[in-house]
Amino acid sequence: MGIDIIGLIVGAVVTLVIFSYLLGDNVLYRWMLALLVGSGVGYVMGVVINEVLFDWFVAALAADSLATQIYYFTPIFLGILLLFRGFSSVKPLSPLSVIGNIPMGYLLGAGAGVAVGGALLGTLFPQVVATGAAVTLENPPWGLLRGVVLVGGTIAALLVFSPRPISINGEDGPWLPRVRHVGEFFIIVALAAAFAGAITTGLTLWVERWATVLRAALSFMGG
Amino acid sequence: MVRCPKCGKMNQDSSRFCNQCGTTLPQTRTRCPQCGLMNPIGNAFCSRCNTRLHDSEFQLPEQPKPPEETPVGVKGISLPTLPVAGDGTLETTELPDWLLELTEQSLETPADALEPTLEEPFLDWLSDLEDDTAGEVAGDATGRSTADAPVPDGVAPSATMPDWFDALPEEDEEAGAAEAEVETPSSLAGVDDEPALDELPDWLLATATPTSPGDVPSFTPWPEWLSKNAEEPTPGQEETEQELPGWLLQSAEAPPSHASPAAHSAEEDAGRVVPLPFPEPEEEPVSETSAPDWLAALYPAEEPEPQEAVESQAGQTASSLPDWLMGISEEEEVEPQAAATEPEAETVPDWLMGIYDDEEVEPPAAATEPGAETVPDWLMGIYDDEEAEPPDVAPSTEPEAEAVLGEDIPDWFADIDGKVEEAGPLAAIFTVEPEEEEPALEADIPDWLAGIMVEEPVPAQPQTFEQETESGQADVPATDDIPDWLKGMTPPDDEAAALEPAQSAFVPSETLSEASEDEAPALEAGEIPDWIEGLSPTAPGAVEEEAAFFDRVSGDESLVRAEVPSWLQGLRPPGTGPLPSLPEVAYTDKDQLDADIPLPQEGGLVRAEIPDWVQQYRPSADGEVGEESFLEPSETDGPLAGLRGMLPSGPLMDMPADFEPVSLAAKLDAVYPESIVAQAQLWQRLLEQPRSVPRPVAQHRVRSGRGQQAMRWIVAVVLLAVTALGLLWGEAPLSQALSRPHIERFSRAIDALQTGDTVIVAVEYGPAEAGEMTPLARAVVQHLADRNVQITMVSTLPEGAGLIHGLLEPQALVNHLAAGKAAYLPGSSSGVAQFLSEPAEAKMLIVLAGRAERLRWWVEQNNAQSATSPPLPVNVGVNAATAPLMMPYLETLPVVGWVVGLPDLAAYQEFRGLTSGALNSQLDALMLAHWAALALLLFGLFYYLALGKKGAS
Repeated sequence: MGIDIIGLIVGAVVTLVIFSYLLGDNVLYRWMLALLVGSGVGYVMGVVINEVLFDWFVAALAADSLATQIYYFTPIFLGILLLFRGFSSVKPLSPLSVIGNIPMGYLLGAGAGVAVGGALLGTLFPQVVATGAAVTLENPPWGLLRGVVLVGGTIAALLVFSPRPISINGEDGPWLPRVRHVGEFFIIVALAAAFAGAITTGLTLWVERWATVLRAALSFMGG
Repeated sequence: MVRCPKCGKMNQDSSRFCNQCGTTLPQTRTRCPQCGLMNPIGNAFCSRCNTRLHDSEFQLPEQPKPPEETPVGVKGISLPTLPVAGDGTLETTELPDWLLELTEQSLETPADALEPTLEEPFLDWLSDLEDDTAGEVAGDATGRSTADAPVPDGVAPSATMPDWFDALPEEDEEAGAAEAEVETPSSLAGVDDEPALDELPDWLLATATPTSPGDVPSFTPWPEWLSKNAEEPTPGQEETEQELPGWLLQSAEAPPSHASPAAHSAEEDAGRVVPLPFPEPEEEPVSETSAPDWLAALYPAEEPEPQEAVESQAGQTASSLPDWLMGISEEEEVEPQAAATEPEAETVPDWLMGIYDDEEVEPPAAATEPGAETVPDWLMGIYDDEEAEPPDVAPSTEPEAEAVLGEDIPDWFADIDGKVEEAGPLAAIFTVEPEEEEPALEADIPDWLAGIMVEEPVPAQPQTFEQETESGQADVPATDDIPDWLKGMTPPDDEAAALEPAQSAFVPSETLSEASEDEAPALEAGEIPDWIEGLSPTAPGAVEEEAAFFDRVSGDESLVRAEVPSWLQGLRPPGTGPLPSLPEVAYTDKDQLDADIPLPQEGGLVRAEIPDWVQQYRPSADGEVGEESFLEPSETDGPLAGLRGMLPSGPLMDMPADFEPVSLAAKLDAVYPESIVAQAQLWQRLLEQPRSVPRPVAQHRVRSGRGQQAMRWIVAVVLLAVTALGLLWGEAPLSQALSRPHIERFSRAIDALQTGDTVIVAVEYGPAEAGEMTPLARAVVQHLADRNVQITMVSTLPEGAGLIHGLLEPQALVNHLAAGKAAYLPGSSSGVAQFLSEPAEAKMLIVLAGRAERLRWWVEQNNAQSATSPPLPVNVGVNAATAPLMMPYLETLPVVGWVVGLPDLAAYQEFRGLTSGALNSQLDALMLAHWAALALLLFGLFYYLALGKKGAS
């Protein structure tokens, strides 16, 4: 009996215990949930420590030049400063938590910069182009209709989230509320599609797990 | 509080000096020498012990004159105002003529109390009255006439002069001359002729002055009834006289500084309620300056104007009696016999005789008390037979008054029955003659006056004036003592028996005590009208019994008694029963003003009709079950029925006497659900524990309802069944993988790779998505291995590194990472950006994402690298949950193809020519599960539509 079998059996049992939530919340379900979260956190910690911190410290210590050392020790130093953020609840050390704002600012600034660039170049521009490119004369009329609906729906959905413009007469025009309603319809459709995808994913997982359980059972019984 | 005349500061009544400036304050209260009680300054007798407070020579302190203020014009009022002359008197030019005549009459009076201001001649009729009532005409309706009365010089006798003016003092020559210049108003035109004696009303004749000129003062404008109290001043009377205005004292025999003897004479009656001190012709000659007793008792001698007016009136002859005076006399009260017996009695004016109650006036009583002053008939009605015996009142004058008044008694006097106790200066007003029998004046009493006569005797009111007579007498005057002029005050209907008063309006303390001790003498029928009886103070022993009161009230349907709440009934004294319930007031057809008026429903209250348009807004009384309805129970009745969260007004406002709060346990069990009780108890235990004690986390969880639990079972069984069916289905596959263009592009893109090309595979899913993504990842890795490319697997998730190991190990593949690089990419999008910026000579990027965010990082950063290098072609493999969210990215460049979930995986494998039984069975099971989920969704849709969300819960 190999470890695979053991792993397979353990997996099956855990799966069934998780499925017991259908009958109601119970202690076994909470144990398995805690097991999943704990194992995941533990694994993450192991990976971070092994593949990030340890290797980094080793590289920093093995650096032969000062520049290399500064290069490796600077992130370590900022990481240590970042740890002071956790002392905000500890009254004697709470004043030191301000020190952690330095690396926090670096992280936020660098991350925002990368994200903004990616959003502009990777999302906004391509999406706008793709929306316009949907209106094509290829494969008429459905291709054209599809493109028009795509563009119209995108615009209407954007108007739903956009702020209300200032009207001259104090009242909105007759077209704006109607466009908003159209956009709300597209949003509803999109959310419904997302919900359907979530159901499909869940069912897929359901099926896959039962398949695993059956397979394990068959193999256990079949030897 | 007393205002300081200097600084205006308010001081206490007992203060003699101002607390601010030290100015001597006018006394507003006087201390009783016997008991020490502070009595109002106007009281002659103590309110507590009835001790005389002031001597006869006491004069009221002068009231501090208010600071001169500019007269403020009253806006909006069109009433005429009399201009005031510089000396404080009235402007004579603005006064009516008749008043001017009266004023002039008083101007010519030598009495010190007189301060004639009016210089205008009086009307002839008033001057005639004055002549007639010069103090010599007795109250003889037939024998005497206004002609007998001394006529002031220069005043032509007027045929229309009221008789009561006969007793007025004679005018002087100046006044007579002035009067001659008076313009007779048009209304009085034709009244200059002196009427014949027979034509004069009896009440006017009764006011004639005594026949004996010697007995009549030079100026006796007052009828005998007005000056009957002008006796020798007694100590008590004198002070009363001092309170009389000067114009009232003109006819008084006593010195002007003294009060009207009439008032004093009235005060001599021990406890009697004497009528107005009409002068008694037998007793005293009416002096020229003597004021009528009733008037003398009222005001001090500093008011000349009314005095003059009266004098001028007295100067007029009876021939000048105006029509309005002629018409208000009553014939029934006229008693020629009584008038004849008192020739010296002054004639009571007809208009005063009209208020005389025949039943209350007793001529014998009047005859037996010749020394009593004649009480005007109109005041006799308020005379209390039981308590007031005005010996000063001349019973003889009453018949005279009745004879004089005859049928001319004004109606409004007809019902002024009752007896008023003598009370200081005001006693003279309310002194009544001893009751005398007189014929009722029913025929002449107008309707409006008859209607105010109360049939039932009302409970005696608390006395407002208490007077102790000097003689200490507290005898209630007998019925016979009622003067004649009051006897005429009988109701139109012969309901004299119903007019027996229970008590007089004003009763001295001694009188009250005596009255309470003795039995209340039964009044003769028709003595005192009920509406005056109601003014009489309530004697301690004369209070209507509670039972009698309730009997009377319960029988009165016009009364509506409010419901007494139960908690108030509990406060009733022990031994008493509950209040008898009154019948609900029912509106008869006669009483209903409108036929639509509904009958009262509760306690005599009429429920208003709620319009229909308001009714439609009434909330429905349908209650809601569950905890929400419990926390905010809805009202079940009343106009607030159906509303929630209303304050319980009933328990707050109507607290019963026997209220006992329900025990908490019983209340909780009966009203509150178990879940609420459990939560409340848990909160209570947590709060009661000290802080040091670690508080456990509540393990109790709210169990779902049975409906939800049943639905769980149904869903679980259905899904398990279909899954088992699909997995164990060994026959032909039930489902079919449909190939899509994006799947083909995905496959072709990998097929286009050459051997040795580097492909970056991003494993962006975790253990939770591994069930769906792992078969896809394995298929992709297999396909890449078949193409002999170099695979570089990375992941931004820490757990992705373990998954990468599990994907490469079965294929014996090596993860071609850069030196010192790990499969784990920290830093989220920054790490991705850094990874992609490193030159790796990769030919394709395959992102296997179970989370949309991770995929977005890779796509965005891949596109962001276009500035330096062209973006890598991207193949995407996602799960079914991520696909709808990432579809905009999937259909844009540089994404080549994508595979979504298990169905696309099966199609991808089929496209590649690879088949798998396990995959097909899973696909079959997935299809059946989809159908089952669809059916369950539809079932839930119709289920909640039918029962509602709260009903289903």
